[in-house]
Amino acid sequence: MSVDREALAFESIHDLAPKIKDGSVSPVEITETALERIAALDPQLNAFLDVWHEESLDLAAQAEREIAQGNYRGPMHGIPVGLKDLVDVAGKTTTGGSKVLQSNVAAANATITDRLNHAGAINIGKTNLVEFAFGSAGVNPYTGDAHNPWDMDKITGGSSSGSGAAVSAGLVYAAIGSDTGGSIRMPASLCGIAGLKPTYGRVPRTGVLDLCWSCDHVGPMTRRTADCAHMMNVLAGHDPQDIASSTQPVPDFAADLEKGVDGLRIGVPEHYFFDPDVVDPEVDAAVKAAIALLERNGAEIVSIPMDWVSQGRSINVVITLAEATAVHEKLLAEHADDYTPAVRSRIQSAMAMPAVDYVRAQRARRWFSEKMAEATKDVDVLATPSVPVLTHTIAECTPPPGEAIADKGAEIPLFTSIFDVTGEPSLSVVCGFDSSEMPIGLMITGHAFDESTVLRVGHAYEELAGWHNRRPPITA
Amino acid sequence: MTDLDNDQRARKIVAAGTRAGVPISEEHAQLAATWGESLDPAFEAVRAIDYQQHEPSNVFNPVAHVGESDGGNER
Repeated sequence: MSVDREALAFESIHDLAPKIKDGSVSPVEITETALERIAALDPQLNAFLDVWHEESLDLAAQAEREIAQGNYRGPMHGIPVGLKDLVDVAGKTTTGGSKVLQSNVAAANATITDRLNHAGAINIGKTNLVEFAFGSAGVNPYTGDAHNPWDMDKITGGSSSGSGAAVSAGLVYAAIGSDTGGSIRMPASLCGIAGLKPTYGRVPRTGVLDLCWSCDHVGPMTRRTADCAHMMNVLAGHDPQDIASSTQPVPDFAADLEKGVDGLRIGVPEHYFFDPDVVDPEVDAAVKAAIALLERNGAEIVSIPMDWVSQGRSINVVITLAEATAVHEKLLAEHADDYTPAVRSRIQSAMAMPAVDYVRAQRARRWFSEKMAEATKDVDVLATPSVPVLTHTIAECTPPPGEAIADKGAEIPLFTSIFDVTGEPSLSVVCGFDSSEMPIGLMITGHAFDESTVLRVGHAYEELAGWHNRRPPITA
Repeated sequence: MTDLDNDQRARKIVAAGTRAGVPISEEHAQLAATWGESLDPAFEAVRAIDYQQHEPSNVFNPVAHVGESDGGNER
């Protein structure tokens, strides 16, 4: 592939959109580039489960005609996007990464599929994932594991494993992820990209496979924060078909991107997130350096005691286990042998769980959310590590044959899952690289429905630090 | 956890699956019991939380009770 096409593949939506609008970059050219890169690199990465060559090129040609005729729809027009394979596209199979749903052809589009279509995005195919999005390392013995573009022996993080790998490797400019315990932010962190879990209810789940009704979030994964803002301008907004969909007014998520961090108050937890018993020293150093950079550029850093905050992970575990078992009860009754052993054992482990444990966890969730709201009421955002540990190998995170639990991986969602409990918007951006040249993530979390400030801080940090401009060591 | 504890947990899982119409083999019940045992600390941590003054979170609007309700949404 030519240097120009390589450079084109790693452009941001933010920079590319004006060129598409003025006709200096062709949607057909960037879609062809994406398809070429998928053909060349995906046999190694295993980021995609399905790719729609002809339809994508037809949509790109249509976008090009519309733009030439003066009908530019906005920054996502003509941009190739990947959809995690739990998002319905009419006439296409939604497998959830499982043999159980290998013949599950969607009758209608998900709401977000319709919104991406309406914005003129090119839905290029379905990305790999952990079976039914129930796992954090990113491994899947049924579909095959997605590989991290920064080191093919390492995990991508999950469950949006293919979305993380595809965006990181420059196969697509954006992808959809879902996040119940961190499944957008963990692969964003480990693959060195930006991933936003919006506020609970902000992005509709209609036509997206459920894992845990009360913790499921859908959101964008891109190479930089500004692109998450452009995606959010398409994805967000009320959907009457989704009982959890918010009616909050939807802002222009890109409007505040250039405001910088001067005058913002950034909370840094005193407990847990920087506990040396929990966090790897290299992660600790990179995130503290990022916070110091924000402080040097005008942010006020506020230390916040949170000696209760580790409880969030436990609450998330109990709620997710109970709801996932309820979600899968019928499928398990009919297709138990088609599940992979690890996911099957996770779901079946809660079959005998007392109902009171679930109700207790939802009461604890309310206690926890009130504690978080009180602790953070005087700051604009929190800054923490996204993932506490360095990136494990795929082998370390794969359960041995006949066993349910892998050697490593249980620590990966310790931090991200806390904000699936509170429902607050939370973004991971790359904030450095460890001694093995693997990315490290900074997590920026804001108040409910204030994605704009979260995106503002993420964008400001990226502009100051520049880590997001690094490319993984693979070429087509 | 002892093998006996794991066996008891596995038997409960099989019985619960039978009640729910989900057949679970002994082999899979043992795997599920092992996984379940690994999560016991999370259940213990939740039981230890001082939640008694709190009603359950609103399942489909968990941010509502912290002053961030979206006002008028019918959920």
